[in-house]
Amino acid sequence: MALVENRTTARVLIVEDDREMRNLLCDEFCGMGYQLREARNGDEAFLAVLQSEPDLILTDLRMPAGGDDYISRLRTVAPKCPIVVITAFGDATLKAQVVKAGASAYFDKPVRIADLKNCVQQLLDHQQGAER
Amino acid sequence: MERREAQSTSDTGDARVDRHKGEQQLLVSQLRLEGIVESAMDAIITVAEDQRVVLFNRAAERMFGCSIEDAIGQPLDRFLPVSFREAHHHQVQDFGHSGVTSRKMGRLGSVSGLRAGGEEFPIEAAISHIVVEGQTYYTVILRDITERKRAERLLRQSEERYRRLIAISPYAILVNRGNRIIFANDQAIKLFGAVKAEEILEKSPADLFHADDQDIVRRRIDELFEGGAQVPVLEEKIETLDGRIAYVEVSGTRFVDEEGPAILIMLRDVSERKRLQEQLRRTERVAELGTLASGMAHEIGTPMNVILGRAEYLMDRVTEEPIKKGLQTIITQVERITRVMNQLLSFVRRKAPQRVPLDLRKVIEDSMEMFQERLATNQILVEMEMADPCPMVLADADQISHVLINLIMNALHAMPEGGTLRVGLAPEQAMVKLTIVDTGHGIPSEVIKKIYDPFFTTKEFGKGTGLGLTVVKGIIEEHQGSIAVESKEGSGTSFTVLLPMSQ
Repeated sequence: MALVENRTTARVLIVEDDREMRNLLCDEFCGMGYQLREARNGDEAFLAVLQSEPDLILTDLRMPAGGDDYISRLRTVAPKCPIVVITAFGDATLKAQVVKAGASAYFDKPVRIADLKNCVQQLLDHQQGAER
Repeated sequence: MERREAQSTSDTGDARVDRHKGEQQLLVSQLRLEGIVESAMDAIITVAEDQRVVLFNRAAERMFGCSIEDAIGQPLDRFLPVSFREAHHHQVQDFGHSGVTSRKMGRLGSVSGLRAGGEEFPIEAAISHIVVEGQTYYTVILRDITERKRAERLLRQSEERYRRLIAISPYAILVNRGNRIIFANDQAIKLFGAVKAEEILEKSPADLFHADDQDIVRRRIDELFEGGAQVPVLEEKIETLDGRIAYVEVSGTRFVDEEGPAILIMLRDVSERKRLQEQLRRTERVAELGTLASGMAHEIGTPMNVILGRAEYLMDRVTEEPIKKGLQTIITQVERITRVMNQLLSFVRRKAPQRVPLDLRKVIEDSMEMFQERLATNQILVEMEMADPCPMVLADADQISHVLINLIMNALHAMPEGGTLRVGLAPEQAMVKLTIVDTGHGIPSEVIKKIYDPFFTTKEFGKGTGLGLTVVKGIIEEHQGSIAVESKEGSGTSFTVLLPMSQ
């Protein structure tokens, strides 16, 4: 049974410099029916957002032009968009910084894809609900 | 009458020749003696019994700046400084009676002369006397020792200077001659924990060193004595007279003086420096590890996520049980690695503890509460013996919680069939003592010394990370405390933690 398609397909921007990780995320989120865009580093992410604002950004931190201030920069060009951060073995301080900079959710790699998917779905629903 | 005249005439003739010869000989003899006296380098003054000068040689003229003509007939006093005159009189008296020649004119110490211009100068004098025709004559032979005294003084000053340098030298200095210590400066005495030089002198240098290093020291000494001028600086261990162990930097140099070959040994206590270096190394290592760990975290975390993710992906798309089981194993193992990484990283990333005055009782109560349910399930009886009031410790609450949780958890795991857990808290001198005792399976003696080793675990494969006690020990030591364990297989284990009291 098809989902009620009276909502536009969500546009998700995936920012990750590791190729395999990027493939994994794309494979997983493709199946969810999202429209996916990919970026390999902070600069590409920035450009992608400038071109068209996504409905959700799923991003790593540790990559070229990345880091925690990269989140603040993203926020300036994507003020309403939910940002989900996944990063390897970050610590409590990093988490606090990232959330303060504007991240909507934070996950430590390795993260269960199932958990990630749930979070993304929730955020998108909430967002779409807010837009209506 | 004639004969007598004739005799006297003939007598006179021969006698005259004899007398002439005799007179000539006497003259020659006199001239020779005068020559000797006048040519002497030392001043020669002869005085009669009345202390008036009867002989004053050329050297005396030069020494006293006074001509013979002016000197003859003068009292000897005139050539002595006023301060010496009285003593001189007594000396002459005594001397006259004893007849002994002494180098000094009496026990005045140094003797001085008085030049015509009024200048006093040091002299060395020898005095003798002679009696001629009932008259006593005293002869003084004098040497102006101004120069000699000056040279002696300069030498003494120079020696003083060098002695002072050696005394104030921050280096401990020893001199080894014939394999015996013959000199030790103040620093050396202090270094070896002695109070007096005698405690070190006469010892064989090698004996001053720690048993471990004695052979090396002996070999170096031999090398030096056999002709090598210097041996390179080495770091060696010494054991002081009061039982401490210190590390020293030693250098040895061979030298030769009038008494033969000897070795100059210089030592410097580098124990403090070594300790600081060790501490620095450890701090650097921890910092390095921290950086390394963070870098590693990323390099490991992402591939791990890929493995985990792909396993999950496949899990969703297969139905065969065996395949699903295999994939589940992959997932479980990745989660296990994650746990280890997390513990390792938290250990390596730990910040210096934020120590505040802390009431341990509260921390203990909170930690115990976390385990309430599990303790009940495992049928473990809990006994708390906490001193009331108990002094506060200076500690970081989070880190101490971590310690407690770890120790309580271990106790719990040791008593799967039940038992008793005793928690004690009491002051002990300047520390607060925390004890955690269980009646579990205990730790075998061959294992007990390894329990703090990183990655060492006695738990079943996959159950423990082996880092728990390593972190606990690290935290306690950073708090300037200590941890000790006692265990008996089959009876139980007790951990004793000491933490400094807050002032």
